[in-house]
Amino acid sequence: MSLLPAGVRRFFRLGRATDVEAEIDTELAFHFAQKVEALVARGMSADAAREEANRQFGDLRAAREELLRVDRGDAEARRRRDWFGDWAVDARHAVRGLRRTPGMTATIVVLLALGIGANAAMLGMLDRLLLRAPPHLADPDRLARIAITTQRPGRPAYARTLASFIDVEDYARGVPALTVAGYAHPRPAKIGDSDEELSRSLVTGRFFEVLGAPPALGRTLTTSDGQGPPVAVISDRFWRRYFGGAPSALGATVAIGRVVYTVIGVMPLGFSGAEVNVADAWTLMEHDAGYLSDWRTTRNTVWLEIIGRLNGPAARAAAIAQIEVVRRTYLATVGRADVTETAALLSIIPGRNSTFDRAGVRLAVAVGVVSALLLLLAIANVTNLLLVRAVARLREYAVRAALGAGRGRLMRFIVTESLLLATAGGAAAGLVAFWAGRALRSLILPEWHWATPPLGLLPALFAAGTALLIGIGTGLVPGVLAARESALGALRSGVQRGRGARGRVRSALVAVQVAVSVVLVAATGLFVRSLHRALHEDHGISVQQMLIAEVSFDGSGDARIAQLGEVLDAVRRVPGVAAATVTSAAPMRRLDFSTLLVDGRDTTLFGMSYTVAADFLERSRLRLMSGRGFTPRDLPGSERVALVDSVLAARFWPGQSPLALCLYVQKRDAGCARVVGVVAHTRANGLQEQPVPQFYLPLAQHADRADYALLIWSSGSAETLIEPVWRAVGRHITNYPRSRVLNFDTMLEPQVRSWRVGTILLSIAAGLALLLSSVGTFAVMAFSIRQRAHEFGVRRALGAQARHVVGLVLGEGVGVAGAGVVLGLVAAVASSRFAAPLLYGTQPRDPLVLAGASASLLVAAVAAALGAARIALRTDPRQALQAD
Amino acid sequence: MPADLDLFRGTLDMLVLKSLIWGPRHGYAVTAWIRDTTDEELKVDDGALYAALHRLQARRWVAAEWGVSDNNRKAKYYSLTSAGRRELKAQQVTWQRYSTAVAKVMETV
Repeated sequence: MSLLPAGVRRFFRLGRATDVEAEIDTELAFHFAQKVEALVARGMSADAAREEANRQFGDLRAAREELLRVDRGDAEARRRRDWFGDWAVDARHAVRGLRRTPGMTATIVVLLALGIGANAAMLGMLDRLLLRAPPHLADPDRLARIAITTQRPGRPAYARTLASFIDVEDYARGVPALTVAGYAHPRPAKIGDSDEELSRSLVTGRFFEVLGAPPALGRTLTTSDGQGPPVAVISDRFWRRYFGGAPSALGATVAIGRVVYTVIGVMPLGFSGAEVNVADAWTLMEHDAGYLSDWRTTRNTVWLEIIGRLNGPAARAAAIAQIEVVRRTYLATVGRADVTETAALLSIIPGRNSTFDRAGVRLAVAVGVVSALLLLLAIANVTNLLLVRAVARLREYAVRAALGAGRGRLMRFIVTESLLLATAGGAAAGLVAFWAGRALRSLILPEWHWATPPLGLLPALFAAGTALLIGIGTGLVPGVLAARESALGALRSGVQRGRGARGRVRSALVAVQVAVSVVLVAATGLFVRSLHRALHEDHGISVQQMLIAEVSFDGSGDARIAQLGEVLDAVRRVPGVAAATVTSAAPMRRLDFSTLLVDGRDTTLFGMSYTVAADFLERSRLRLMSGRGFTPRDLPGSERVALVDSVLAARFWPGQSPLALCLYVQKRDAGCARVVGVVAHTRANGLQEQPVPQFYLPLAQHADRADYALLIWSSGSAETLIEPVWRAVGRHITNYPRSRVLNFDTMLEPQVRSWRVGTILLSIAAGLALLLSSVGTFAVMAFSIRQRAHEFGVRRALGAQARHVVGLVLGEGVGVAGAGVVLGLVAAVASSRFAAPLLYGTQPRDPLVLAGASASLLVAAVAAALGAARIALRTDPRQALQAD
Repeated sequence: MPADLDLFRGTLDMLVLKSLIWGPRHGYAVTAWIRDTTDEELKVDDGALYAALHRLQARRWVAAEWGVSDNNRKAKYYSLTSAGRRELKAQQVTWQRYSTAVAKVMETV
């Protein structure tokens, strides 16, 4: 009978499966020997006994065959059962072992859950943002955005996805269907009786046809609508919000600006045109009088994007060649043969283009990289913790090896343990991915409709696959080491000695952690600087504590000016208002464009136009660079005047003063507006815009507009002024909606959000990274010190001072961390190219940031090493020496 | 001499299980015990008994372990497992009911 229970025997695999055949023969030989002996004892001769034994046995060969068959089948079944049984035994052992160290187990599971979960969430998001075409488009692979890169001699090349539409219509040889879509801009709107704001995108009649997007309700816009009354197609979200999702929305009217549109169709949920561009409504160019009538022919359409549908792969090359020919011909006719332009057809799937042009998309990429780094950090840490665990249990493994457990068996046990941990981590990661996915989506692109659930199939598969790989991978490292150590017979106290291979592996892991942390901390630093720069950006005018009140007037020009003056006076009398002035287009709210011409040049420029009050410069603190600003003497009867910004001056009159020269707005016969001053460029549309030339006209000479914006500066908080300003304006304009009074900071927030969110997420990631790498450093140091208690004991016994011991430990810790910092700096500098487009006004190799990141990691390493040194000092020399 | 009884397999299994009821035995002892107790009335080949033993082992009713015999030879010892013991009990009950039924039929005149 066996002394050991079956489970233990199996666990250590005592008594290996032996040769079935030999066993049968031994058994039968014994049988015949006994039988013959017994028969001889009864008086038979040896030969007769052998014959009798054979007779009694029957057909020996057939019986032996039968026994072999039965035993082989049995051995096979047993092997199979043992194999599964071993897993069960291993799993039970592992669960018991993990329960004994709940702190470490929980740490590992949480690390894996965060690492895998964050990545799964990001993967789900990036998949949707970058790797897929926007939803509801037919055959999106055949859609293309037309991009033209312009190279002027002596200037950096710049790319744009735009050109004049009339030119592009000529390209049509390779591209059978073209359309134009304007970026969606918020516009004041009237739905029924209520004043609202909606985000509208201007398109051409073929927009929906080219995209192949069918409506959910009603019909889409067509080219023939251009000749009829104004019509609009609205988004699902807008339809549900304002029409309660009722079919009666068709035929309802929506006034955008001063144009009244009839709703003819509703797009399906999630439709956003050809890119991540959320619009509430789509209307035709032809119906919007507020925009240029010459959008077709102007060569400076900075707000339009041209999308084409290709016939097939061959059409691509033909289209590119055709576009380049058209551009070359145009450039030759305007005498700019020195300018070279190249065309490209970009995929509408963002990830296929080399540039990502949405802040949210870029941020998502950044967060994706950060979460990948965090996963790397988590893996390094988990491997390290498992190593600590394996090394601490070398003695146990040695006992197992001594009892007959093979190396493979030992490795299998350790891998079973890490697989269990990874499985738990992976399951928890699913939850993290779900919640983090939701949080990240609303944080990074809150206005975007997500057609997919936060935890889709792809992220779930990713989480499961990564967990499996991590489970096997992180188990193999300590498994191999443990198998090797136990083979060396670590049963003796030799376990206590030396750093050896596992020490090197652990140090390398810590160095990697430090390196990753350096990168993360540096990235955080860069985002903090970007956010700071974005918040304190020079907007050209003073935007501190600024409010915008948008107003519209009916009636004739003179009546409007008089009314505007009354409103302005009323606002100025509101307590807390420090200053107020008038402009036709408030920054970040409205863009008005005009074609500009000057004497002696054929080319036109496209400029942003502002009609402003005489005191605009003074109130807004817009910098005057030369000449004079407007004065109350610039009246309708006097000479027409204009101000230009530095960008316009440099484009039209490079190296020359524009003062006293003529500027023609729209067309030459509009008459000369004398340039009386040059002012600084202001930010009109976004923080990251390409500067577009700007010019200013005095309100008194150009009273033809109906819409104006009051810029109001508060002496205190801008937010508290919204209410009184609204009331003051409301006394002069009936039914004045409160939504038309805006705090500039609130308005700017979406633009700053990518850096703010980036700063928040990166700060969390960097904080975690710092913590993890410090803990990692400490764990390695503390462990190596415990292992070398003997050495430290001898040193202390030989009279080593405390500071020597501390110095030794510190040197070691800082050495490992230093290697990590160098590695991290190299990685940070090497990857700076990719970080640059994500930053704002900050160099990716900012020395201050890099130095700060390195310093913070080294300080953390010193702290960790000092903590470990305390353990070395507490070691009692006598105890350490007696342990041998 | 009475006619050879053609034993069906289940009965053979039962006999082999029964032979192990007093403790572990090697194959030879099992065959010898069955021969002795039946006074060689049952003409069963030793080979068939070994096949039964191995079959029972594969079904986990019998466990086997190598040991040393009284005369110092390496021998394979068989013993009843608890499952084997239960099986034997069940087969005995079935057998008794069957033989009683057969006897009742045969005793009627």
